[in-house]
Amino acid sequence: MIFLGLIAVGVVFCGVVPFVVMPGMGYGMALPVITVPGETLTDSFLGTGLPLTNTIVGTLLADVVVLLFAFGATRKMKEVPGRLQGLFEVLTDALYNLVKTTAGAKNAAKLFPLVATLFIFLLTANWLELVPGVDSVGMMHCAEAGFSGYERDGVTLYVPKAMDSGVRATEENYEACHAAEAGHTDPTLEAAREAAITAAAAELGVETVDWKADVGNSNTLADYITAQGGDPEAVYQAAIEALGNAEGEAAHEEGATEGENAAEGEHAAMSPEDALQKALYEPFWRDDIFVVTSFVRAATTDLNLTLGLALLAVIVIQIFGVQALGVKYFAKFINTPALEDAGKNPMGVMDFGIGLLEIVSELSKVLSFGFRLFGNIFAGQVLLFVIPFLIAWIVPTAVYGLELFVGLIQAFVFAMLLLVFSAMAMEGHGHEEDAHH
Amino acid sequence: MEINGLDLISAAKTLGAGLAMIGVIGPGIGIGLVVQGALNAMGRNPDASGQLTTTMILGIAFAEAVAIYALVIALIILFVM
Repeated sequence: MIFLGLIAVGVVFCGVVPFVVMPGMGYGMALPVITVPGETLTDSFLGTGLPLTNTIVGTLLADVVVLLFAFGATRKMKEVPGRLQGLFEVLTDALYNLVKTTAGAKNAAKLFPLVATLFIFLLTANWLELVPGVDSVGMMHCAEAGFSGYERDGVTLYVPKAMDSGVRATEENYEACHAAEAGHTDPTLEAAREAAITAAAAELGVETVDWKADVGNSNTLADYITAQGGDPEAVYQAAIEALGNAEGEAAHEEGATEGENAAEGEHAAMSPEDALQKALYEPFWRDDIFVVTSFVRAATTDLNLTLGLALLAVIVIQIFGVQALGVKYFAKFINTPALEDAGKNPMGVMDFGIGLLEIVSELSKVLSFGFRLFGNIFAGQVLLFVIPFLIAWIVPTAVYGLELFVGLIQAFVFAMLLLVFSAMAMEGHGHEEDAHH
Repeated sequence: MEINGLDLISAAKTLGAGLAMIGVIGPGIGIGLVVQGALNAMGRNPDASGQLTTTMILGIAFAEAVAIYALVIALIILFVM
């Protein structure tokens, strides 16, 4: 029964909602914008001058979730654990056993807190991308050149059909859109359009003419008027008259703002006649293309976080090594003991060379740590974006399951590699020395 | 349909990303070999499967890292350049 219920829910949310209900309401699924850096939400967060990206929001959200769970699990600890406490006990126990078998009982106490913290944090951060609303609910802004976006319909995106992948914006689109957003539109042209639409409505004897619904994207207003049996020339005359009156009233205001306009320079003043000509005989609907910047994005899809954690991991490994072995730890890299022994054992020279290579391998750990996590989770995110636009049925669910697995594995691998490398650094050349003793 | 520079760049990007992903062939074979070895060992000695699984996942992670480099290059070509 539960299984059937799940299937029913799946059918409703995979089929009925995106294909029937949402188009019925005039909404469609929009492809989210895919960028590697986290998208900036505000340039100055709470006036601090620091930019706030959606991946930072994701990081903070993951922190909050971990803290809430940990708080809930440890606030009222009981002898016989409740569900949450039981879950945390199982998790901690499994992690501690893992650390103990890998690093030995002696080092486990030292390594466990860091490894377990990273694992739990990364698990939460990775799984955050699977929460509905993350990556998809956000605010609209102009699409930059080369990105696919959608036209705007009031406060929502205009997506003509379900699962439409949008139009690619060009440089001009972005410039025009950005100018319009910033309020740099030509006032003369706007006024001319206003007048033209009023005059056209009067000429055709309808209450109002809507650019989007009636005129459409590629048609001109003049075409529309002709098609409806009106005369564009009469509309032009009526609009010119209306504009002339309005200008007379606004003349003194114009005088005040003229200095400003002249200062801007590039916005060459357009005569009302030219503006009206443009409004009537050129397609109006500016193809401003908008994209949605999500409020929250999974923290680990930002290279900054993963590379930061990778740097932390590699530095911590060195610190553990030095703590355990002292100065002898560096003999792993600059292998002077082997060089001193070279008289007895000529292979020592090669050991010295290998030691130098160890430095490179240590540096490459930063890259492999950081890129592995980032690459996996980011690719998973892109997969989750794209698959619903290829096959909208059932398959996205399977991808969801895969991502659940990948998120777990990558968190585990990150923590596990940190553990193994730390354990190796703490042991150093332990086995050889043990053999001597 | 008119083809402009942006379209050409887009086409080249897509091709480049596809070519970059050729690099995942090696890691694919590698991961297969790792799992094969681990499964053989588990079949011979089922008691050691816990330890083997952990080591196997680590081995997979190392092999996978190479595939991830290819993937990152492809993603950079597609979404950054």
